[in-house]
Amino acid sequence: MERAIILAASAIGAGLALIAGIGPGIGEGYAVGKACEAIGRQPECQGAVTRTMLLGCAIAESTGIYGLVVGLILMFANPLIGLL
Amino acid sequence: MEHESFISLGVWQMINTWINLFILYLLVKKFLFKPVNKILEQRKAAADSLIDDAQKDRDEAAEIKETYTAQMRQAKLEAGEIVKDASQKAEKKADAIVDAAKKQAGDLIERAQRDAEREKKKAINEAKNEISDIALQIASKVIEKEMSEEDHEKLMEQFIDNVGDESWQK
Amino acid sequence: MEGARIFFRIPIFGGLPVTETMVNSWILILGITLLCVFLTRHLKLKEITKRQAIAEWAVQAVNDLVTESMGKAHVKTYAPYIGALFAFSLFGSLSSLLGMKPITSDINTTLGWAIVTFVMIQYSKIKYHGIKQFFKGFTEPIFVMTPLNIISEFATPLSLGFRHFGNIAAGTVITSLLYSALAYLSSVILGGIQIPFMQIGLPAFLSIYFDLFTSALQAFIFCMLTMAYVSSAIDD
Repeated sequence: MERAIILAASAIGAGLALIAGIGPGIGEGYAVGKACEAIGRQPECQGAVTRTMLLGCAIAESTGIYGLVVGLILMFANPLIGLL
Repeated sequence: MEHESFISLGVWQMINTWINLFILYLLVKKFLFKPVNKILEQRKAAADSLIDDAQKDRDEAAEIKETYTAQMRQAKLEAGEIVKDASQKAEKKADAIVDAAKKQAGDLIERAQRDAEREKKKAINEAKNEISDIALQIASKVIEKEMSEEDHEKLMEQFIDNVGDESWQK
Repeated sequence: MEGARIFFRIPIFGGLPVTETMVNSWILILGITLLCVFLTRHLKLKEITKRQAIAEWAVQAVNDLVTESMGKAHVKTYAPYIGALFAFSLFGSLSSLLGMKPITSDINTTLGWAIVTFVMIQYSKIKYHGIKQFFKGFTEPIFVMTPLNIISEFATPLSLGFRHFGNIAAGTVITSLLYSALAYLSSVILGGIQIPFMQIGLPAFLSIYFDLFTSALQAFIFCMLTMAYVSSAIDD
């Protein structure tokens, strides 16, 4: 019985953890928009702007990845069951 | 085959990671970075020494040009002086030659005058003789008498002195 | 999703495991060293071969990267380490193209590298500013910020490690889910026969993003962040 509750709660928790993916989605979309504006204003700097944007996006992605990692742990390596 | 779990921290695995990273760091440093850095520095040193040599050559050339222009200036000055000297000497020589020539001309004229005088005297004497002969012949014809040499000479001299100064001056 | 396979256990200290990750990283060390030796054969001053051009380009790229982030004074010390880290991370993640389990999809690997960075940061702080300034630095703006500063110090290696691990491991999870989904799809199409013919071709497109792009980007970001943290610890 407790095991069922723990498994159910872990499943719900995993689903809720991935809501953290909203943040990077909005932020990176905004960043890419600004990058497109910059390229439109000065097309010669396209290479540098693209590279900087990708770098910034990869760092901003971190918090979304943390949420993904929590979800994956809860689904595949659930430590809470062992505490039963 | 047993598996580790999806996320599992183990000190033994982490020690392995550190040892592997350290070993790879040493290997990459020894086999990639040391030889390539050496070659890059050698190439940079060769390029630098090339530039230094070129700069040195350029400096030497500038020095040589300096001394060359100074020498040229000096040479021009000396040449000017030489020319001035030479022209002065030439003038002096020319003057001397002209003087000598003038003197020679004067001498020549004198000599010519003297010769002319002598010729005149000779001519006068010859004319004297001829006239005396002609006069003697005429006189002998007119007088019809033979004269002696002294009377003849005396008559001739009187005649010539009266005639000579007028006609031979023409 | 299971983690790394355990090949055998060394029977000391109650069975130390020799995992797939360790074996893969040994293979990688061998491969990278052979590549370096192959590239630096017969180095010449003029008329360089293509191999030497690649080796020189790689070393110069790493040197320029380190100079850009850390200044000229530290290039000699840090460039080989950054080169080794970058090569290990890049080829470690790319080895999933060869069927091996990538070493960076094991949290021990990435967290281990992040802890090395953490030690480097603290060591640089102590070496260049002294121990007194090291302890005073935690109370820097206001005294009440001390716990937050300490937490942010520990959060640095954690975020470094988890970012790298999360990207690569999630990539492997999604790829394996995709494969099993395609196998199920093929068995449904063939009416029960287990010939996963739909697995041919389609995962290749996704692997361009998950394998090539993510590996290169995460390796680059790990190195850039390491250099940025260490240079800021040296400078201020």
